Amino acid sequence: MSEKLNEKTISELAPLIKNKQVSPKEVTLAVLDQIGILDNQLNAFIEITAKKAIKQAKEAEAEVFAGNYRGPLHGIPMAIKDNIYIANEVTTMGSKIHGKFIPKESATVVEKLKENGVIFTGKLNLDEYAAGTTNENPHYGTCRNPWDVERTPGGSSGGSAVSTATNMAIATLGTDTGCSIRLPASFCGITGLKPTHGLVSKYGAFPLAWSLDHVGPLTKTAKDAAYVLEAIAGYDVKDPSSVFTTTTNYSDQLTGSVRGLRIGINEDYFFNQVEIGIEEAVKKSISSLERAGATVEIIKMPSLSLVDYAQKITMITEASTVHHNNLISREQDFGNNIRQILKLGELPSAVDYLQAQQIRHQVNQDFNRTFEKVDVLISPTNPFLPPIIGEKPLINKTEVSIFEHISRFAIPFNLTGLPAVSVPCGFVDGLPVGMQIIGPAFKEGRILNVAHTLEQLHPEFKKVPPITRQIV
Amino acid sequence: MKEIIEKTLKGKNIKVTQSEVAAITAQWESFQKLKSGFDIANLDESDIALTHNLGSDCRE
Repeated sequence: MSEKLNEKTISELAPLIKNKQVSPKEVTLAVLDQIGILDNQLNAFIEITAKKAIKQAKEAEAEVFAGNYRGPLHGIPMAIKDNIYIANEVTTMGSKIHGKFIPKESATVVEKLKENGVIFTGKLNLDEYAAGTTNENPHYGTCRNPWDVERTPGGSSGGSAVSTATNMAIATLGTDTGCSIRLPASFCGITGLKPTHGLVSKYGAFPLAWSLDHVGPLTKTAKDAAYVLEAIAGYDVKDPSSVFTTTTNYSDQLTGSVRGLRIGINEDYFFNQVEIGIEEAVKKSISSLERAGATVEIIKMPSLSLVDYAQKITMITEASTVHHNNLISREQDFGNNIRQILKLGELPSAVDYLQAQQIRHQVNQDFNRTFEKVDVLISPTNPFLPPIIGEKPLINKTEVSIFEHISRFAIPFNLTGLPAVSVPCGFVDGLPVGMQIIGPAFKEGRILNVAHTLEQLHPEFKKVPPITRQIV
Repeated sequence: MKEIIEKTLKGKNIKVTQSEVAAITAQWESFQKLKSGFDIANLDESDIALTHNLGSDCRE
């Protein structure tokens, strides 16, 4: 079967569009066709903006054909998580309360993608206000995992991961406060990057917990993540947490070589209570990187034992601050899951919150010391395979609490703001497994190169779910 | 603990059902268990002023 345009990556499409062998309109129509075939089964989209997308595609086509090619994202159809504002389009945050909210201006990341010539095909499903990990949305329906529709795709950026994994989008944007880009990327078998805190503007992305929130790409490959990051990174005066930094050509750093790279492994935290198949898949991938010239060092980080408390106190307190007034006046309009989180977040004292910030600082110092010894850290992205929707997850056949375990390996990097990418590293029982690669602040190029190298060493890790090639 | 949580929420004009109080109490108690690791954290050495500027720990 020949590959359809919507099955291609940004890196494959960009030269075809640049050389006028393929038009943005053809790519957009292929993506919209796929949405029409699949989305009624997967529920990845809250809104599909087909007419606007075709109009944008025609404009991109005219520009490219007139010789005004803007770069690798020009004419690429992307979809956006529905907590990121697009001006004059309903942006629901997956909620009833914001169900008719129309922002007057776009998020900075959307403006940047527009400047790069991206075509927007729709708004993607998520947990209500991004406060969840399973994308069971009480107002817009449950998003389903394309590898097994009875299972969760992960959340909160479930729609972003599902649409990318099934070629309903070439790439997407998501947000990540505790695992929400990396977890669904892992559960759906794609790449998800949470950049360094402050590298990508959060202006116009509705906050869940502002000091932990990040915006980032979900893509089919590490190279595609690099292309999207190049477009959306950079200082933004509108975002108080934005950081002045040199902008980098991340895609040029994807050399495919890890010779001399020092990989750190922390067994005590990141390989504790993990599904055995996941541990084996991650460790086999680490061995592959070793054979390609990397070295491995076992490291200790005692402060990691405090991460869970600090992250949870910070997250619930900030989330409750955002929603405090609505929790009093419109309590009945929240779904059960977030309502309970918000009520819980009313309990910590100021001392609890500030102690959590002190712990945060200690954890940061611990990571800074660690990155003097190693270049990257590697861990599983999550400790278990995608659970059946509505059921408890299993670790080695034992039921565990989803709330306590699902984001355990991801949250240290929301708390510290360090960059982390989840990349596919194999399959267990027909379900994808994700490996997390973490680097020092602003070293996205380094972690994406490790992800890219793994993709080159193991092309068999990149598969599409069988449902994706469904013919109607 | 249940009574304290219910009183705290109602004191803030936040409605809460008995089943919610039970679930929230269980979660709050699980948080307190996580706090037991505080013994190894020398919080006195962490200058809170260093963390008041969010994102300040991420520098090139």
